[in-house]
Amino acid sequence: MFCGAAAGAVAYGGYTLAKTINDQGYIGPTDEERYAQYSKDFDTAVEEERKKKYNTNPFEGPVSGEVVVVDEAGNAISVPSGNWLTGSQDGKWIQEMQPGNKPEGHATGTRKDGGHPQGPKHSDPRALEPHAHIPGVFNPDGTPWLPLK
Amino acid sequence: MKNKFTWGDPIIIVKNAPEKFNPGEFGSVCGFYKVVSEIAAKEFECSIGDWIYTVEFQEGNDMQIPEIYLEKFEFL
Repeated sequence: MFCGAAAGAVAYGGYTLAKTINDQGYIGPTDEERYAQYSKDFDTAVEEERKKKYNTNPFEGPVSGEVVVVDEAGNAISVPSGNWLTGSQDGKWIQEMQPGNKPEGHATGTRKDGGHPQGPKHSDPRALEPHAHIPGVFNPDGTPWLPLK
Repeated sequence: MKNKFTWGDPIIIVKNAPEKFNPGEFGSVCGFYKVVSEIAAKEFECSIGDWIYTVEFQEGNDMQIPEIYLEKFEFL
């Protein structure tokens, strides 16, 4: 059986010397072939894991690279790598979060607000309408309700 | 436990809230998330499972406040 198998391998591949022959006479792949297969499997697994972990949707968690989210009117929020967004399903309310000392993260202060109810003391009309907030950015009069498109 | 308030809801900070949360102030909800860690529970003086709300006050400034310190504001 051993001789027959080896002879068959010679006829088939012409490289029997490099083949592994086990106790049952089975001719297996060479070390090089095994290494190539392991290497291929490893690369495939790494690529699958990378794809699984690479997140471009900030509503599903921290993004792997900077992404820009744009609503139907053209208002855009730039989300840096590691940050994420929370908000209402209709997209009227969006809040940017960043990692911090706790798993819940911290609100960055960048938001799209759908409009607030009239307050008991006073209300700026710009606060009642949909608006945005960006830390450090204000209207010329110093108010924080930035206009949306 | 489901969140008691949602986006745009008018709220008032309860009178017995810690001073840092501006008790008695009016605001409205801009966002919220659930407390899942001891660190957050300690920071916000609430419990794991409670909700934290981003509340915007009338002047436009905002603050993160736990649900237990909020009440729905009823317009008279």
